[in-house]
Amino acid sequence: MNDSQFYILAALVVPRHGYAVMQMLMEVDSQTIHIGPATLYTTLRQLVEAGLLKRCASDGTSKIYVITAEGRNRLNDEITRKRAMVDFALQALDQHEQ
Amino acid sequence: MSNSLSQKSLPITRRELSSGLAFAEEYDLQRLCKWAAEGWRLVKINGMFMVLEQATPEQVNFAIDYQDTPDSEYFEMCAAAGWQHVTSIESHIHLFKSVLGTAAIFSATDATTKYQRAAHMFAKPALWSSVGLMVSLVLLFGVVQPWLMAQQDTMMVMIVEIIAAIIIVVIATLSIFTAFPWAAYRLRLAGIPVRTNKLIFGLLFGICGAVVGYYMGSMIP
Repeated sequence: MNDSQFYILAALVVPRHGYAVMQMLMEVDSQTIHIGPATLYTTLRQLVEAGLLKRCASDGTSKIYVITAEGRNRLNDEITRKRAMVDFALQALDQHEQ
Repeated sequence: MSNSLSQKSLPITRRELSSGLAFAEEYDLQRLCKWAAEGWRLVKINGMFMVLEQATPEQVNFAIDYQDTPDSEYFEMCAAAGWQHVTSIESHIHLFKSVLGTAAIFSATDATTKYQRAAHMFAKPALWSSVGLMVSLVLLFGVVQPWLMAQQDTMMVMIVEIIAAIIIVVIATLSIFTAFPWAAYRLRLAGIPVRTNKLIFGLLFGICGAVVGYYMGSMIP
């Protein structure tokens, strides 16, 4: 799972429009997190095809997306994996400083 | 460049030859920015030509994306992020423009997947047109040419050779406009520098032109 997919899944734990996801991530940290509209559209499509997101409603032409149960499981797995990576790196840095 | 002075209600237009988006995307986008600043707005891309229309000069950036028949949500997302849709080619290749300073249309890590999508789009047409070209060439040199050499009627021989040449040129053109872009995107993904990429295809085009020219010339009695 790449960073864009991770952020989009996390942002869609609650139902949102696709563009609302982009705005939300920019408000969180526009320097570190930038998901362009073309990337967002592609990633939403990929995640829906993979069964990790679903379209739950449509507001005119803007679709509303939300994470599925499988998407939640994948997100939790990814969080566990990233935590293990961070813990490993912190431990390595601590050992070096000692 | 050709200008067409038309009636008062129609703007002045001009056509510029594209360098080929698959081979020189960055160069063509830079030219579009330059022309926009000079007051020439891109209207559409017609085959190998970019059609421009006289308009108010503007300082804009251009971007290309490859999406297979996207729905209206795609264009609305881009518009909401400041990227105005300019034109599309065959509903697969989409050009956008934005004012300077607008955040990129892609994430930094997504340039690779964009070219993967592009290569994927061209893969099947490239395969079929290349197979078609090879089969045509085998039939031409293995079946048609030996048969023609045995014929006495020179007029009929010339007519058949002309028809065969037209068929080969059509299939070769289809192959070039599918297989070459596919190969160009694959070379980009392999990390080949754009300048080297352009040189390779310049040489290939030259070789293809020479082969076709030689064959056409050999038909002249």
